[in-house]
Amino acid sequence: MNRRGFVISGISAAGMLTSALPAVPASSPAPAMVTPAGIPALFGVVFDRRFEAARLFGRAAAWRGHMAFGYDGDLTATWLHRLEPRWSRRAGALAGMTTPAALFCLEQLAAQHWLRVVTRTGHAARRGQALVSWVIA
Amino acid sequence: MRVPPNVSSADYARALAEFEQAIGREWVFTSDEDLDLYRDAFSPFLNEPEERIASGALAPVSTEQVQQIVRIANKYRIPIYPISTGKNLGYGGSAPAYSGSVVLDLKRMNRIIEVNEQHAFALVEPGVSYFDLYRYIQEHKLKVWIDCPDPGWGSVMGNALDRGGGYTSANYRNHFDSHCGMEIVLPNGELLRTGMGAIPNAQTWQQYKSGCGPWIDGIFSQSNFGVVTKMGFWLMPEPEAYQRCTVSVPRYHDLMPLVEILNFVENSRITSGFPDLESPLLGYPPVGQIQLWNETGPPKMSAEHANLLKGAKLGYSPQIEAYGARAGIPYWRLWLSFHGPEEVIQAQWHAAQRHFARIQGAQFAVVEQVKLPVDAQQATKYHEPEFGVPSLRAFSIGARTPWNPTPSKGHMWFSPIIPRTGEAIIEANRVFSEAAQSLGMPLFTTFTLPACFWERAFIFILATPVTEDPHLNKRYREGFKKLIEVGGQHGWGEYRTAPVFQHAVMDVYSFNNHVLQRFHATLKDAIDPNGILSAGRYDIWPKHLREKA
Repeated sequence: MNRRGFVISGISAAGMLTSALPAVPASSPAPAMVTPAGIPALFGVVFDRRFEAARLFGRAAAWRGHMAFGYDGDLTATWLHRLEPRWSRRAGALAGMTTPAALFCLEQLAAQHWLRVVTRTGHAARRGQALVSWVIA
Repeated sequence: MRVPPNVSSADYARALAEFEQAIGREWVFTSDEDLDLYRDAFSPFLNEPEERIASGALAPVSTEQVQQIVRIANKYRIPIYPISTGKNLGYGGSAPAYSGSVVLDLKRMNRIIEVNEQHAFALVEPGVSYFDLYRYIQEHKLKVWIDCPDPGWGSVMGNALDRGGGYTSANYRNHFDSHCGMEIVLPNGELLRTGMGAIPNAQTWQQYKSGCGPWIDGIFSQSNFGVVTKMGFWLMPEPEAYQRCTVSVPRYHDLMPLVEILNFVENSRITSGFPDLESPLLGYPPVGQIQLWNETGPPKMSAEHANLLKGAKLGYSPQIEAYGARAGIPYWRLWLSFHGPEEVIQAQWHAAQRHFARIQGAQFAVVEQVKLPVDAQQATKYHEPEFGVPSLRAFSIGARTPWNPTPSKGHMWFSPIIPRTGEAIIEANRVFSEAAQSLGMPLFTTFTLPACFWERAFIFILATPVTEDPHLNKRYREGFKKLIEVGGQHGWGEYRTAPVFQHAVMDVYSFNNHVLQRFHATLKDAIDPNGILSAGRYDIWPKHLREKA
């Protein structure tokens, strides 16, 4: 895949996920509405800053008013300080574009709160590193 | 609706109703969607008929609720399988050993009951993860360290009860050994406290381990004799400094004195940090740098070097040894670490060098000198667990990278214990590499170094892949069992294993016509006559299931 195709794929993935979920007004409190398909409203997105498609994904989500948590390969601090406290409070759904290994890690951690991966889509990436976009709810 | 084996639908329905009354309907799980969360993500039987699955799950929040559950389970003979946070991946995960059991999910029991800085201990419930305990300690600014495995997402109690290990000082790396006092719900619903906890209003429950009379704590590890609901742990006082050093030796046969001297300096407490063996010449990383190698790739090797490696047998050839001498690449490198006041560390390192200097050509280096404390962000410059900081960076292992383009779906840990000698390392490589090759197993394909999680013994902890090919998985399962048998023939046993292999592993412990297993069965019949608790765990089966087998 060339760079243009790769970037378009990333944008498409970003578009697919974030357009499925409503924009959150900046002044709004924690969303209580349920989106189509019964997925709770999004409390944020997580993305791996090492990959351009993921950065685009994060940017698109932030533009739509969602909290965007970027990390650089190591999920530890993001999970510990951003995600886990919100999952403990049942804050809502989380979307992301990450490596499959990171999704696996988050999927296992989400299970501790009886949350599960409700959608996942694989994407090719550069240098053989796959990305996956997903929603946990 | 799934129903546990040997239980009628009517009895199960009644039991579920009583479970709901005891713990609340929202914490009783029976849907396929909910029970999917209790599958073993690394199951070597994933999606096959033999995969162990739960027929229900219960999530109590208190010891009293656990007692109620156990009484109901006894009433209706419901097999239950306690888990803490369910992160025992590679050793069975959250799936029950006896398929169809109801999982007793203890993760809601996540109270940190006490962290005592003065006496350096913690008392926790099963749902407390290493991250939870670390965060508590940081938030309360307590000057104590945890010792955690890698990744650090698991339960403090769960890891200790399966006898896992970590990376800081020897006193704390063996997680079961560093516990002090337990509270257990017995299979009849009674509450037991061990050690000094058996004294009402005990003042030293987390200070003195063995109480008086038989010290029974061990029988609640890797077993099915009770549901542990509280456990005390000794914690390491935050050291003032940390130092990491290396001892590098040039020749293949230097491995023998290197290990012998390591044993002496460790047993004498000249060093107590996590020792780590590496072979720069053979390209074998130390455990503490596997993450780094996975993130950035292994160190570059010249074409000549790589070519010479192909001719090495059991890690040796005179040509590769000569190349190492010429190129200044050590055959073996031992990483030592020290915790404590700087002046003590310097004295210890000085003494260690004096002992290792008897190996001709040994070279010494100080790699890191770190004033403590460091925060979690600073710790990312190092291998975080060696600083008592839990991490998720281990998920770079097995991730797809240019150096690992086809990661597996999971792994099963092959983890035999071997003697702490250089000779044993070589012999184990000979035995296991021959066996693995004949079985088509992807283990011991190159000379493999063991890890030093435990004092006094070595351990190999090697990942056997779980793949998407059921035929390949079957071959690897059968090969794994054969390797267990081969190890047993040489006096080497596994330290821990997944339920699918627990019979094979325990079969190796066969001294005096399997008297150990017969003793376990005797205890099981006495303590759990209805056989409701974790049937089959570590091959301890209740009477009614032994008779059926």
